[in-house]
Amino acid sequence: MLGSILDGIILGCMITLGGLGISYVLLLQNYFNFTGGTFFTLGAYMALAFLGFIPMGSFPLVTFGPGLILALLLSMVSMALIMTAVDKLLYRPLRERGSPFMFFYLTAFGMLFVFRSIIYLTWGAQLKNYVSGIPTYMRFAGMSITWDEIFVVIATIVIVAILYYFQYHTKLGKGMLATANNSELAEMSGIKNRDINTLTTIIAGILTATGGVFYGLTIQLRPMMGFTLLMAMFFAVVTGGEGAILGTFGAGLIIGITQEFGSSLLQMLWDATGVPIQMGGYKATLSFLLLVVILIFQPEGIFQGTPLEK
Amino acid sequence: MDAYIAALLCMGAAYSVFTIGYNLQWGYTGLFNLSVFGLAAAGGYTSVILTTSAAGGHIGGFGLPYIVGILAGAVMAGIIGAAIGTITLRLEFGFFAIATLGLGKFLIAIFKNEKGLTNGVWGIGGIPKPLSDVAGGYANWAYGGISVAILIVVFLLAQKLVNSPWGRLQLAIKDDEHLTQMLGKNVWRYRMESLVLGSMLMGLGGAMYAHYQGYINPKSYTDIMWAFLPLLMVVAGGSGNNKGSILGAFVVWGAWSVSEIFAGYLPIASMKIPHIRTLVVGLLIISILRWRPQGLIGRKRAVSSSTGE
Repeated sequence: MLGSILDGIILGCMITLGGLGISYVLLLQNYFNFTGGTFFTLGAYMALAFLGFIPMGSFPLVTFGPGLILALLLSMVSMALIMTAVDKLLYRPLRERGSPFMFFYLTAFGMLFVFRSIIYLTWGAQLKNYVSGIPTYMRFAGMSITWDEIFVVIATIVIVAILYYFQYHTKLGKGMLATANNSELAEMSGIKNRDINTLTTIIAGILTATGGVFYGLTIQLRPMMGFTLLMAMFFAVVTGGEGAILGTFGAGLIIGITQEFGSSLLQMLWDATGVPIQMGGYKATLSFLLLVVILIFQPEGIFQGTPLEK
Repeated sequence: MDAYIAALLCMGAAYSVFTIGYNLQWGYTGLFNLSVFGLAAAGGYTSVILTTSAAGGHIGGFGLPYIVGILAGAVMAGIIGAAIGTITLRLEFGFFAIATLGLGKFLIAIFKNEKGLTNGVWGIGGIPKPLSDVAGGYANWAYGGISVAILIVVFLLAQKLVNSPWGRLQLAIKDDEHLTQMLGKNVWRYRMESLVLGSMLMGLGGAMYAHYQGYINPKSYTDIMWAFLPLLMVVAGGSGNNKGSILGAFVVWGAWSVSEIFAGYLPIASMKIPHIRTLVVGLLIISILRWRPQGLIGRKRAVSSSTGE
């Protein structure tokens, strides 16, 4: 029971990373990136492809070795490149033509299926793993957690901290926020909108790839892994507030725990009251139901405020 | 070849009805409703449960006639559409899209998990096809005729609707929401009407498809077949144009099903073929959006030609 809270925290870390990728696109370019979940999957599979050439090596305690770190870095680079290329080829013309919102969404929706089919074509439908080793568990207070999972949690916290520092304490990060707030004013004060857009897309690519690799490391690689998390990522973005790093992290953890712990809690409730509902099939929809509730009562998100006010 | 044309009539007509509803929401009112595959499934399942004869394990056995079934399917989809609208219509554009995508997935999750209702992943078979006992070997032709007749009725009604003041208002809402609001029109109500009517047509299309197939399960209504492929039909025909939607539905479905035949001759593993087709459809959608946003036969901006683009 308590173990599912830990599972939720680990899932929440990946949701946060994927959600931040979507959040940055939303912040600067004003559309919800439906392709975000599929890029997440692609990032994970990219690392798998690189691992075909890189010897894994080994680290103490965890199942993976330095090879995976290198593959992760390469996957970050390739996702940044892919997402920038997509942005420049498809979205920039729309932006500069001043096309209606609809076109951004339709394009993102189309890209979702394009990349999904590419993933299926390249890697097939079967489940895959980076490593076949048996992870070492750490047990305390009746719960067990693998060292891989501990690595994921710590790495996520480090990444969020670096991102936070970058966004609020460097010139480039502040320029990014200024552009999001008022792009014309920012342009006048010498910040190039195009550069900022590219930078944002690159950051989004890095975060998305990391989230995907972490998911592949702790759970499994499967072609629909990102799409099933898409609703949870949207939850983190909407609830956390666009571009608000800590808000997204908090919301990501909340939704991760809700999915894992909340569904087993509800299952106990249904079993006790005799309602014949099996929660297993509804785990992924739980995040969405929570999202709808929040959208109805708090359409601006929970952790409100424009990111500049911090 | 004969069999192929009959099948094309049945499927093309079912998709056309669905696409007219889709186009009403996306093309006319500008509602980016992503629960469409769930609505098609709701229409299909309602009709199937009402028309099949008794089967163990799930509710059913009503054995009602075809026409009652598909109309009930449309009404059920309309009711679900109204419920979805009540929850989501006050939301902004992007939030609306997310919330409806989630609702669509939720609907499919219900059809998959509530075995007492739908027999779960095993699906429901033995769905009656009207006139099949009379027509014998020409069952598909007879059903194609019925489908096309339904399509003609739906098309005429839809044309009447979109050329009425009501239809022009929908275009006005899409082009400039605030201006329409300033004219004293209740934007929310018009959107809701479009959402419900569109959902009913989607339910009807989903039901027509179910009776053609004779067997459905939750996988019959995937997002690829009932949200993504219809998107190409609408975009290719030109959004905001009912004739374009029908043309798009027949052309796209024709190409989709022909590719299945030809794919057999290609030296590719059969597992990969569905994904190659999805890839091609996706690339087509994106190219049309990028280079020819108005589609094959587009629509000129009807109301405020000075705003936008």
